[in-house]
Amino acid sequence: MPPSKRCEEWLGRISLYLDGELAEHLCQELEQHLKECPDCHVVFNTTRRTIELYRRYGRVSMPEGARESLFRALNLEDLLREEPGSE
Amino acid sequence: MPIARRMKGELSEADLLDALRRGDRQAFAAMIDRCGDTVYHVAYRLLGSQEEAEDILQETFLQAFRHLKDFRGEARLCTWLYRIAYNLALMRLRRKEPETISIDQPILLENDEEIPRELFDWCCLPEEELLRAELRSVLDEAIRNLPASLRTVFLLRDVEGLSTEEVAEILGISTDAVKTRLHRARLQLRERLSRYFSEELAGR
Ligand SMILES: [Zn+2]
Repeated sequence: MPPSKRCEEWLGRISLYLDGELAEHLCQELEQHLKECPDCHVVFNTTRRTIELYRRYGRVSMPEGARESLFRALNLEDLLREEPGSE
Repeated sequence: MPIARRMKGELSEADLLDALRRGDRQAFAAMIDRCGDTVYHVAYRLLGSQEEAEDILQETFLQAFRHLKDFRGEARLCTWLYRIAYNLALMRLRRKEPETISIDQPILLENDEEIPRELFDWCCLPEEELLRAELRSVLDEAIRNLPASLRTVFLLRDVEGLSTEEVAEILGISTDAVKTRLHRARLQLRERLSRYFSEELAGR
């Protein structure tokens, strides 16, 4: 069952809340609503968890082969083996 | 001062830029170390293929090094590179799928995935439970299915951790547009993950 109109308004603000950009008095009202409304509570918690999961597992880095070709394309292949931060 | 070693975080932006302008090869390598992963990530998520992401990676750095004199130092060096990468990837995407890309236009409000429907509460299941459900491929699939305009905002803000202002600069949109798109991306991803977890994990 989709949440009510009032709930939609609160859900529209959860990103601002999560990013610390929601005005303080609205933060308190939102927190109050989350306490009273199990549906919004679930949406809020699972949204936060979604972000956490992507932060932890969503990154993609250059595959080693791509990095090597890049260094070669820029005539830097002699610097390839020097790892960042190594002595 | 020549850069003897390329130390990822320790060299200041200004020193790195000086070294680059002098043509210091170590500085070029340092710039790859610093910005390369995110450049690749942007291209990969937009184009969906490793091979094409590699092309964009090379084109981006070639173009950046060729045009270093145009860089006025107002943004971070990496931000400037991400912007080049984004534009190159976008051009290629438009060539590939001209009909699907309206990335700069306001998004229509018709996508009903933003009204939360799936209320299975998986937030607090232990990670092993979620991992058992092939988490990575689920995450990949969900982000791949986002509209490109939302996908890029989400990956730069939430995955790569860039600021709203930086993302606005890279994409050439307003900070308000970044915030709106981010919110919509999050809700759509939440909906997809919830649907998946509720099928996989509910009632066990
Ligand atoms: Zn509610």
